[in-house]
Amino acid sequence: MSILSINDLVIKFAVEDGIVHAVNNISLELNQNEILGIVGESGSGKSQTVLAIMGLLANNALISGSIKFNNQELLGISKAKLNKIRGNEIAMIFQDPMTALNPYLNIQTQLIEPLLLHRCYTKSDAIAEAIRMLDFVKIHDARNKLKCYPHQLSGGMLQRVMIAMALLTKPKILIADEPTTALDVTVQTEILDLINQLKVEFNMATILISHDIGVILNVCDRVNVMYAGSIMERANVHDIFYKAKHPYTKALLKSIPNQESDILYPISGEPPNLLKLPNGCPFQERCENKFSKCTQGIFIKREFSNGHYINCNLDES
Amino acid sequence: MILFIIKRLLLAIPTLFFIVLIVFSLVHLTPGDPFQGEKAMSPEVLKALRHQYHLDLPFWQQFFYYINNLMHGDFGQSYKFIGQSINELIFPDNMGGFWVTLNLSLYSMLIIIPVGIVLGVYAGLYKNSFLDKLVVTFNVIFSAVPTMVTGPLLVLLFAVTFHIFPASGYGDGGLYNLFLPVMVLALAYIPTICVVTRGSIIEVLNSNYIRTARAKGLSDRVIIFKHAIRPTLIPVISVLGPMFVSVLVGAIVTEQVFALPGLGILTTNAATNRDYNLIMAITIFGSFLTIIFNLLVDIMYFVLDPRIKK
Amino acid sequence: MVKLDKLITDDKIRQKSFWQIVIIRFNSNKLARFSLFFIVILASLTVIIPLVSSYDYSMPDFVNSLEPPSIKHWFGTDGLGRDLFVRTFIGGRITFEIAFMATIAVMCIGIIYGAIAGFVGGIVDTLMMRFVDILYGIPFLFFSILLITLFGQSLFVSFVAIAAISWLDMARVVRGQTIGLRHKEFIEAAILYNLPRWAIIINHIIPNLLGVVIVYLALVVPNMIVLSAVLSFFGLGVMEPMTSWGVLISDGANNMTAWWLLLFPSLMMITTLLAFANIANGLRDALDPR
Repeated sequence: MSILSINDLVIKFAVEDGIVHAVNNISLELNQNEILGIVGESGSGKSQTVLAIMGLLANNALISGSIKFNNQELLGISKAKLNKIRGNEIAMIFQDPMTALNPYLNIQTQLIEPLLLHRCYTKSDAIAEAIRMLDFVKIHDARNKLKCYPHQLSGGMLQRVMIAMALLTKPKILIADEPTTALDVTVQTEILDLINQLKVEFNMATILISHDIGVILNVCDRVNVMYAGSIMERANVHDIFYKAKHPYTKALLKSIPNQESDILYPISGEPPNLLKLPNGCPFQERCENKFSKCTQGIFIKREFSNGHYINCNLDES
Repeated sequence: MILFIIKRLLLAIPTLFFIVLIVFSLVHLTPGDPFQGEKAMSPEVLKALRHQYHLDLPFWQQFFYYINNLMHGDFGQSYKFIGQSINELIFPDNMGGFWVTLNLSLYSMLIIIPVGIVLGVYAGLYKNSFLDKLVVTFNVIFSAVPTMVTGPLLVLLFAVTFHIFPASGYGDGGLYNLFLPVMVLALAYIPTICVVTRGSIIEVLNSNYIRTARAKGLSDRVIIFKHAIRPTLIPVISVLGPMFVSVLVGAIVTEQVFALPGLGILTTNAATNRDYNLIMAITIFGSFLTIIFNLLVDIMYFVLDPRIKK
Repeated sequence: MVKLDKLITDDKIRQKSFWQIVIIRFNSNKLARFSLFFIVILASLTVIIPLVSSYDYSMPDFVNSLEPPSIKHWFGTDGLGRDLFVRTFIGGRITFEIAFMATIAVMCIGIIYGAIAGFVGGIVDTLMMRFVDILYGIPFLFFSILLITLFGQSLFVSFVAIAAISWLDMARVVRGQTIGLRHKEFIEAAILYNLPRWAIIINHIIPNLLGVVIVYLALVVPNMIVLSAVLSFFGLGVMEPMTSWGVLISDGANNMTAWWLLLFPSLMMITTLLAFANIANGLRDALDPR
């Protein structure tokens, strides 16, 4: 069932001022045919986690733990082997479509690259397939768009191109890192609808990352809530929304702007400095339910029925 | 494309006109006369000379004559060597004048551009490696130390102490005679290219579109040669135009060191003889080259960067 | 990649003023600090050594002509038997003088020109910058040679000629900064209060340009040193018996058998230029950490 499993992943960055603890000991499973959400503030380590899957972390990153794709370990494999997987079996789309495509190459050159590389298509077959895929992601006049350069297309259009490029090789996993953050709200919904549709049509698993819990609740099957490099809570969408157990998740849900009332409920305080994380729970400084255990460096992981998992000292049961 | 070039050419003409105007007025509106102090001349001869050089005319008429001659590609006559055409001094039939300077500059550019780019790319690819640190140190040193210091020191080392290369002279203009001058220019100007290339490729490799290319599973070789090299070179092109002019100027300084019979000697003679017309001609010719090279750079930009096309 | 600046996390430094931080950062760069120290010492020595030395920089002493370096004459003697050690330092003094005077001139012209163009804007800005563009088209070396031949060879003309062609970059940089500043709230407030334009430029714009100007200064001074030296190579340097590094190197290049004539002034100039390059690097990093 599980197509990707991450175990005890730790990511640190060596910088001039010390060690940045970006991801601290997280584990998660991605199942066939599901959309798994990861939600968290910026700096929570959600992007670094997926970049680690793709082998795209910065050079000063120190990684430990294990990332298994179809039971094949991805951490530490050779670049040649990794290049056979990324862009082929695991594809990724990025936050800012305006800069994610090479401004000096036209759409066609960039779009057919994965097919030529991974599927050994001839150029004309690859172009035909690319046009078919552009049609699928609802880009009109696809044949002419192929000759365009990125600066001639809009952000929403470019994100569709990115999605088409990711889908061309029919990957088993699609990773979408904040795919709608840089786009207009109307375009945002269209792109999210498209991602939702892909799950059915392509029979693939998706990891969707967003800082916007609203986006996550709309699209995902299961949700991971990340904070300062730790997974605080994980459950299916229903349980996260109705039965959230972790104080951080509750605060996040409460902070969603609400049409009925004008009052906003921000989470007070700032995220901890990743250079010197507190012992135990990283949320302790901002937590309303903080008690003695939390400040003593205790940080308990618990699993409930229905796959509901929390990383908190509070005994909710 | 052709429209673009024509437009740029039309823009360049007023610039050149104003440069000529500035230089010409500087020379002709400052008090004094090129033939002053030549005591040996009788008043009649002096008057005839002033007439020959149109110096007895009002400023605007003189300027008109000068511009008119320039448009026919004629820089006029030398003030020092009476009757000698400046064109013959700058562009002589045999090897000399501008041809020597051009020859030296071209040889140097042939080394500077590829070496600068390759060093810059390697240093940027292996940022913070030993090689990178070596290149960065080299850049700091040789962008600070000018040709007029490296030149004599290289002569002292390779010609006077070890007798490997000749200390001076143009010979047949071959590489044996030009090796040291070319080395001097290369050392001075490789850093210009190298620094820009290194900075540029580091920035490009950190860009989002290179991350996308990596995410596609492309090999490093494809990423560098297909995706990274063009955006890397675009900032390099923008320094090429001004640099070719600096290399020409640097070549003139280097000619002084190696006693090569190029524009450098001509400039020195003009300066010591107060031959204004000749200096003016060299200055205007230099400006003309500067503008032409900037134009070429603009055209290269136009060809390489799809975003400029409308 | 997450880049964390020490200054944001360390509360002690956080409260310090901008310039205090710059000084702390500059001081933490050992090479830059040492280079600054070196320049200060060298500049003082160029004043002190000619005063205290038992040799005179101008008096010929034909008996001791072209002596190699020895305990008596540390850098040897030149063709006229003059002590090269003293001449190198007095030459350094002239070189520094020309460079600093030219730099001050460049600074004044560049800042005023750039600040006016950037602040006034519109057609004035366009015309002023067009003029700068035109001057950029003239190769600097020929232009200064032209100026020197026109106005005669003297220390004053040399530095004016050098300054006249070097203010262009400064004007451009300052203009860019000024345009950036012009839309800052405190300038807009000053405009709303109807302060006269010149007062805004002098009281608000120019002090805020200090950062760029200082970095740029560290780049201009060595350029001026090189330019003045290059002019010496064209026979347009200072006149005998006075000397400068450019003249000394040029003379040394013409008499290679007496290697010390070339080597010592060259080494002196190289170390000075490298020191300035390090200072410029240090200042840039201190003012604009990335």
